[in-house]
Amino acid sequence: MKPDLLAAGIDVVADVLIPPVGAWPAPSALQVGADLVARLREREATVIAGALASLGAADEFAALPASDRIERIAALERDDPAVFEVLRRSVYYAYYAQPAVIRQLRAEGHDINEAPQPQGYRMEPFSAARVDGVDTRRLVWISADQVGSTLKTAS
Amino acid sequence: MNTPHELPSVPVLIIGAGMAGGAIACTLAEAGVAVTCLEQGHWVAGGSRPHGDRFYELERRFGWSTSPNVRAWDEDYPIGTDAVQPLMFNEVGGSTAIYTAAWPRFRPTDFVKEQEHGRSQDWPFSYDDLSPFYAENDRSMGVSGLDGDPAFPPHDPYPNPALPIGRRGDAFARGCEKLGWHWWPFPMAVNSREYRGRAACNYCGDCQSGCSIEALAGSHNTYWPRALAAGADLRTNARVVRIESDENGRVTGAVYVDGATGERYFQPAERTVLCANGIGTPRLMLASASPSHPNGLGNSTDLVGRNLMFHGLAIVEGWTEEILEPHKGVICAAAYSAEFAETNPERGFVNGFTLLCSGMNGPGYQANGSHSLNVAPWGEGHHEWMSSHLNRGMAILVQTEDLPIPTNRVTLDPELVDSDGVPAPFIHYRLDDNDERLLEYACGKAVEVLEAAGAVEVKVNRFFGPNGDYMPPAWHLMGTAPLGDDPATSVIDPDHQVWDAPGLYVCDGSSMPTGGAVNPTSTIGAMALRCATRILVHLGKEVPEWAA
Repeated sequence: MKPDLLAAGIDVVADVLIPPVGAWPAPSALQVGADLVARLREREATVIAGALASLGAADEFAALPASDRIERIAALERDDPAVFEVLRRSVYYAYYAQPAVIRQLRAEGHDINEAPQPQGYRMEPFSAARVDGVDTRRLVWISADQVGSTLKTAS
Repeated sequence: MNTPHELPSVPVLIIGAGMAGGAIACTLAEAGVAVTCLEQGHWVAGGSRPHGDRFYELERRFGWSTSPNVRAWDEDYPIGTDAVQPLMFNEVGGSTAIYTAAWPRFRPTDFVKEQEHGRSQDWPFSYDDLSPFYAENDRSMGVSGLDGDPAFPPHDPYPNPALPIGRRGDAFARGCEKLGWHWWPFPMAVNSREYRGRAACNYCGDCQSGCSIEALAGSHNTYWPRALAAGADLRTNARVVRIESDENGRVTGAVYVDGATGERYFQPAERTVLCANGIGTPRLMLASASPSHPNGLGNSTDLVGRNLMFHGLAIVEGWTEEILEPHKGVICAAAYSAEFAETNPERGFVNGFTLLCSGMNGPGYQANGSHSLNVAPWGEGHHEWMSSHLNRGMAILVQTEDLPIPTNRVTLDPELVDSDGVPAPFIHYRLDDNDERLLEYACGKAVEVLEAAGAVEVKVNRFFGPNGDYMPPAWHLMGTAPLGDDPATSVIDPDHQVWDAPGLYVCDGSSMPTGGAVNPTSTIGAMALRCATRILVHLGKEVPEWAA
């Protein structure tokens, strides 16, 4: 499948998997398909191309009523779960990699970065007083020289 | 196949630059021994990892997968299996270059399981014997932890203070305290402050792709820089395809392929130390059969490759109504409970388990079901589900001790080969009935603590495959060439020398007669330091002060 057709096909399906709601953008508006085509290795891209082919041509699929699009994807998920999983995982990963999506998550109160580095996160240092609730006089280990009972009945 | 070029002999040849290989090379080189190490992979620079890439979660799933079968880099070899997807990284540092750096010790009873219940072998040395090596290894790796854990005998202080446990750790601690269970901050080989030239962790939460800022310790950024400074010869892109032995059964060195040229070399050695992990080590031993070792090196008793242990693993996740920020901080583990780590026969099984309060990574990973396959629905309802779940959960890694079972084993795959024509390993693994009961009980306790911590939804992932068989992500590779006092029941002697293949030592996860109920790398490193000091004794050299 040509890269532009693959990207277009992913976008159409991605909009069904993660439909735009309120302030949440549609995957196709973020060009998730093009990102995946640029990113995926051949082995995963081939699996996704196969999944899309089973759903029908992109323009034909896009022209279907919404209920039919959902039904075709549900059939793929039911009949070929391993292939569907590669498609769904890839779309979810690519969607939540989008700066616009991260901005929306932040707007909802999440302290979250586009990528783990270079910023990382600030966390409160651990205080030893936090273990005050642990009874440190109660030892939860057994000395080796106290072992010797036969426990074979347990197994 | 071209004839190998024979190289000048070396005193000590190490195969594999992972945890054990690095610790042994460093100890020997700093003692003045000429050491050569053959490593099939390369140096992976911190900056080449995907942590700064907004597609880091996609990369971690595929191109940076911890499974060589998915990752499929040139230096990886395929693994045939009907059971598992093993974690393995074939680069300098070995799997410590991609692991999560959880750093617990084994417990005193882990060394005497034969005395305890009779279904495992005792180690030929004790916890107390290994304790000084644990302490030195902790210092070398820069372990962060809180002293005084009542789940262990007192030991040398950790070199760095405990890491933050965050909101998820705090919720876990509240749950344990409510139930009256033990909990404690988990020791991690991750810097809570700058240590020996490596940066402090900035809690980015993406430990599973290694660490791009080198705050997470592996042998590649601790032992190997020291080993090289002391003169060790590390040859990368050098895949060992066979270990040679003479007509008397003595191991004489190894044949390797230079990945850059395809040329084969025979590296003779007075002593060869095999450190290729719990799968790679038995694979090489079995693939190196000769007239003097017709069943494979060290395999006259048919023990090589048997008794494979991975730990019984499950992940139980819970979601609360509060934000727990499981995407921040070390992924495994903020805190843990050892309440059930010792055998209690009233439970109906031998051995025990630990519960580790772990993270959940970023939003893409959480949408894809995190560790428990609680996948965000597609279609209508997706965003609503994310709103009620994202960053409100935590994971409990359930880690149970599995028994050494002879039929759980590494053999040579009859068809699959690597890119140099060496047979791939084949893995067969099933849980014993005892271990099934243990894992089921442990999952129940994980649910209990999550509910005590305020979880309103809980999901258990027992890692059942499509046919209902237990198919875990095998993170810990152990037991396939174990230590022992008796050549009839072990592959290597107390000094790590293969009983029936003089000149060959084995030291890695394969050497462990039992696997404990915790992550094994700390114990592998301590064992490797002890092994190195035994080699120094055999060479007539002085041992380091910390081991005297």
